[in-house]
Amino acid sequence: MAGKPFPWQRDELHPAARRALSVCGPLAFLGLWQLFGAAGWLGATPSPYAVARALVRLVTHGDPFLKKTLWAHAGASLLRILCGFAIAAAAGTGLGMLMGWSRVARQMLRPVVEMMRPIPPFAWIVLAILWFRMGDAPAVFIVFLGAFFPVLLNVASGMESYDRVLGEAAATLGASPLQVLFRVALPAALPHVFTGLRVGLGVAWMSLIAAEMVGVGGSGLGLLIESSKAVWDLEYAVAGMVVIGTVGLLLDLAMRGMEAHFLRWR
Amino acid sequence: MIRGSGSSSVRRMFAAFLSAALALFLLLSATGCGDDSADGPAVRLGHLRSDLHQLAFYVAKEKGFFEDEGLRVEVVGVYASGPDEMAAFQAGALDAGYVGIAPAMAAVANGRADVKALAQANLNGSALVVRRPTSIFGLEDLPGHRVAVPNPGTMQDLLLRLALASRGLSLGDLQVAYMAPPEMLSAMFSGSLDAFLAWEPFVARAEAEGLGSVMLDSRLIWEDHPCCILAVSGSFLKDRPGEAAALLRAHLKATAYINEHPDEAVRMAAEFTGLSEEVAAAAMRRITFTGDMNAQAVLEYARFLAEEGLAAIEDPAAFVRDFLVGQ
Repeated sequence: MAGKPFPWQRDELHPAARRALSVCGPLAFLGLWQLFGAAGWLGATPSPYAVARALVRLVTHGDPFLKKTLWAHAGASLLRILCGFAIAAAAGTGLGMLMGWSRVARQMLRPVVEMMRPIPPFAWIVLAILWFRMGDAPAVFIVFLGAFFPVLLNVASGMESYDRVLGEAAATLGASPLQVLFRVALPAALPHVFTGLRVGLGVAWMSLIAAEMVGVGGSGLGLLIESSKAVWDLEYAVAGMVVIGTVGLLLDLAMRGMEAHFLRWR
Repeated sequence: MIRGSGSSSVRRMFAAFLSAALALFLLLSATGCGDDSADGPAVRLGHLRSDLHQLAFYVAKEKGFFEDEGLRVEVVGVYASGPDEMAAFQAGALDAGYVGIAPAMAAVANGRADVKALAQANLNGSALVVRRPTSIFGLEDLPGHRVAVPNPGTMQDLLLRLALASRGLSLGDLQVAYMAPPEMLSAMFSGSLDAFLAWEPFVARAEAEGLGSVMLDSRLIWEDHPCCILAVSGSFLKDRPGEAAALLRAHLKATAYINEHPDEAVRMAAEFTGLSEEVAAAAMRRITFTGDMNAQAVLEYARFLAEEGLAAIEDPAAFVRDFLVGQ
């Protein structure tokens, strides 16, 4: 309690209270949403009930405009996300290690990376089409761009911040530079690597709408949101948003699980 | 002690933030009042960015037709897409707007937006474009090819379905991709898109840039199909009928001006959209500028939306009577 003047800053919560709170939050959110909607304060925003109805309809019949079920939309998007993210994770970790390890590489790459990082995924649509034509390839490219920079920068900063004395000690004991890189520096940077992967996966989902504006086939959650906007079936747009949020949350939980497993030495 | 001074400085910052927010609010509401002080509020108008179909708006503005009718028109929003503009109508931010009839009808039917069509802005003005060089010489060659339309439920989606139906084909025979018209040009340039059906000026641009050629003008699929309209909010029409009538007169005057001064209209179109005069002229040859609503065609479109389950319209005829002003 010392130094924590307010009860909500207490370090420890009873596990039951913790569980109850994490259910109460979303329930309160849904309740307020339904209430404000019923009071007419949200204009044409669909109510949680209408969104739930659209979700059920997506599962049983598919949407009314693209005529695809929820599984088709979510599956197509998930495939694009996982492909783009896998490439970004591999490339970002590799290049990030190089940037963190070599001062020359860092000096050369930093300005390029820092310049490209803030460019919104939407701005890449035209170039993605010109380079990767239509369909899934340009979509995967846009997801890749979203996920790549967070991975790269986190890995690089992890590699920069590890205690170099450890590396020097290992070298004195006869470790080769590659052994120092993979056996000392990389494990030390692992917490940063996981942070980068988790942030990258989140940004990958955030790039999905832009990614699916490149002329993908008839399914995808981003496409679902865009086309329901066109005919003003907003409950399907919000249903698509809910699915993106849910799948994103589940993937993040999976990543946290992996992180806890690989970093159990901490 | 430290804790105490910390929280008081937080409190001071909070107070400073609150007073800054309050000052900003007062400032904004004061400028808002300033607008109203002259002679009643201005007509808040929206339109789509550089949309050639909505040329009447630009002509009316540049030629002073709004002022001639005693109207003070303030452009409060320039939108990238029809649904965005309809969201602004929904939010009560617009009194009037130039917008596609498809998003307007969808928003009225599905979003229960209180919006009416005051006048047509144009009829026709889309086309089916095939990549150059092509192996598609007629609609019957389309199956198996990759064809783009803007979105399901758009006028272009319906036009493609109608064209295919005339040869006993359906969307399922093609590889349909949904994308925005500017992206269709890049996709055609990259060689991965075989054909698209979109509105002008993307048709004329595809031709001018040597990417594709027009296979079918949309007027040959459905003669005088509706396209962009001048829409007004229901409350504007009810509370300020005089201004709505004046807006209609200015719009009709601008539309007539376009048809009576074709050369000047092309020059103004180039100014409005940033296109070259050649491309603007080519595009305008496929657009019919008129203020007259084609009620029968609007009814057909409403039936399409209802039958395809794209809009909650139970009685298309009643819907259209309510949607079109003066029907």
